[in-house]
Amino acid sequence: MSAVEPLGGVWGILADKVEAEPTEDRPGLWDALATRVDPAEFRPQLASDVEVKVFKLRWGNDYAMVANPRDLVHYRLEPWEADLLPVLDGTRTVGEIVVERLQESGDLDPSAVTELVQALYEGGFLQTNYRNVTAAVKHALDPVSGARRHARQFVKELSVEWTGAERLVRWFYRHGLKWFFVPAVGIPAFGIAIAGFVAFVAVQLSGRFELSASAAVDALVLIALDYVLTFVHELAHALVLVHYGRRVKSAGFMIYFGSPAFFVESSDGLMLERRQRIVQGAGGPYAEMILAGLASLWIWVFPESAASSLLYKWALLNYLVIFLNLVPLLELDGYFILSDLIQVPDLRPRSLGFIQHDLWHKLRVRERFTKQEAGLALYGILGVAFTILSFYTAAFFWHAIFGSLIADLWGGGPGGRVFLVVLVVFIGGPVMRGGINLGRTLLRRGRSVYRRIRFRFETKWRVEAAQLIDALPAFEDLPEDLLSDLAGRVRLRSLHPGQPVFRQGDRADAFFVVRRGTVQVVEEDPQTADTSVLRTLSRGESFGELGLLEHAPRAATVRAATETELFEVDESTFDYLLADTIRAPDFAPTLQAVAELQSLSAFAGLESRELSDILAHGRWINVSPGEAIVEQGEVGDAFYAIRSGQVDVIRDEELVRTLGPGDYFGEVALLKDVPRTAAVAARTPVRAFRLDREGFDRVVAGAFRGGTLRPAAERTSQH
Amino acid sequence: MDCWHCRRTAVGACRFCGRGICEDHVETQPYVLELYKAGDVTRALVVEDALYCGACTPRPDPVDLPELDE
Repeated sequence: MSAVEPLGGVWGILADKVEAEPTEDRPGLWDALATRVDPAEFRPQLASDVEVKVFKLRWGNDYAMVANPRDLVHYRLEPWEADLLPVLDGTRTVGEIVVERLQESGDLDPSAVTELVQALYEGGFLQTNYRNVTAAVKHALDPVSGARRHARQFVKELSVEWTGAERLVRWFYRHGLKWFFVPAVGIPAFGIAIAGFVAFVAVQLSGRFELSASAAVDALVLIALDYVLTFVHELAHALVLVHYGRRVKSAGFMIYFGSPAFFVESSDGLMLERRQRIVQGAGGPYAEMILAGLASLWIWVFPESAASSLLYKWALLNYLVIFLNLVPLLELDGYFILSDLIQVPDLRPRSLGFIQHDLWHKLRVRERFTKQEAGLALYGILGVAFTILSFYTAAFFWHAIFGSLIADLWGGGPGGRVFLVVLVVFIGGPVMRGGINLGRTLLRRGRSVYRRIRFRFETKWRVEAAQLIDALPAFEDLPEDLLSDLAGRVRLRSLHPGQPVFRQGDRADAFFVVRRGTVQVVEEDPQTADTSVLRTLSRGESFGELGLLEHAPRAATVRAATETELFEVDESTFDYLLADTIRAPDFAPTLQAVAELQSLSAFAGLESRELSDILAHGRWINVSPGEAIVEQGEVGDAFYAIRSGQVDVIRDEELVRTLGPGDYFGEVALLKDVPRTAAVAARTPVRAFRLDREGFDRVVAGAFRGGTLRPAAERTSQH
Repeated sequence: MDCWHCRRTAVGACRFCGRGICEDHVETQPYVLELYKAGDVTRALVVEDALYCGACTPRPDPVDLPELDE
């Protein structure tokens, strides 16, 4: 035998700390740990570099933006949340902040404060660093190269993101483009944009050029120019950000409305002042106007040049894109400019939410619209209509300008075909994927509508189910809201004659009420396979609830005797809605429960009322082989009747007798008030009914005293 | 042991808290068995799919225990 060596290292220190008695000054380790993981005990301190900006709006819908400049994370906060930020100074716990808030404003919402602090913590806004070990482990378990990650992102989100874009933008800004923010360059550039647009109108009115199918080479050049266009557009947005001292989080490439496009992640722009944000929104279309203006001036001055036809198409595309960008009905630049101008930052989601949820209701009940609601409805409907129109217009222009490209490439030999396939996969692949996703969404929506319609047709039988369940003795006077909930969850099952509802021994997972037809409760002897019908149930009668309440296996098989319809309440619904409403002492047991009890010889001669009494004073027990049920010498407190299995009666360690199904034991100690004279242990798996002393005295003792039942002493031995 | 969520027979226990879980409610989560230093790099031995009940909250961020440094 060797002595136990003391633990070393951190585990040794831990063991010492755990064993140490806590004192007032020094709480126990577990207490300290409990305090540390308790959100209410956390002392949040805002990081010193976090930037907060409050935006006061005309309509009182003020909000605040908070920025974590290290990771370029931005949160939009409600005014009350922004008011809390100054107190996140590390001196107060979350609990204390909640109490302070209650005293100051009367609001008590601990979870709102806790969630805000947690979000700030996870977003890196607090002095305490947030380290997500779980995410780090998951990432380490599935390492992917940057290229693969980008490829996955593109397949999944139709976009590729580049986090190093800011350096490129700053390079452009330093190397010339900053002069566009100076009037000496900015004003002439604006002049070119306007003059170019006028020239384009003049060219258009002259009828000299028209939109016709382009040759393959021209189409490819147009595609390339289109890329240049979107690149310049996004670059302009990013330049405005840099000009106002903000940062570009990332930039990238995406498929938008079926068209390839560049984008700039300019969430730092949310920290700009309103006027600066309007400038930032207008920056992209303004840059496009300059390019389109230059192209238009060229074709106006040199209409005969070889490039003019191509430049006309490009300028037309440019103006179309500018128009789509500035129309405030799509969630593009024009929308954000309008939002800032009218100071309603969530105009589109609010209007779409209104037409999705409230509009139909108001129309149905013919309720008057307020001015604001009318505006929301009008904007939402126009927005949806314009989105559809944009799809059509985009498709029309793409077809008109690039339509012949496909035919030319297909007819241009193997090289052209390979190029076409690559082009289709590159542009069409993600679009098809988007189409499939759209199809799936529509399918889900369709199913949901179908379910709602079907539910309406089911109202009649659902109400009937609720009425039948309410009429059951066990569930008298169920509240209306519960019945309504129940009606929504109940299922209707149809069975043919002979078809089982469930089988003896099955796990209880539902409770049933007969709507139409009859079912038979059939007991099957597991040893002989003989069956006997215990009871026949018809409309309005229920079965299966005891199994759910006791989590016991089904005691009998229930089978349809005729064409039958049942209302089925599943286990979770039963637990959620009904289990607590059953008044157990008053609960009239189901017939199969009574029938099962009645099948035991000890209770065979009893009436239903007495059997119900017995059920209220006892329970079914399942005993494993070798497990003791009764110990010799202990005080007798219950009487047992065996349903299945065998038990050994052992006195002074000697086997006296073996009892089986139908036998009973334990009555002598109760009748004579003496200690148990023998032990009883299960020989095989046993299922028996255990009746407590009160129930025995009230119902069964009389049968023994009257001679209907014989005590064990008269059979062989006492126990 | 029964499932924490539905009270059906459990098929396993949550590695993080010990709650029982049945087949329908079982989830998995990586579990760090051991951490060690390989040069300057911290490495971990991990069970990728340890049983997780979805009810407890394994904190993703480490908790300071300055008591052990005293």
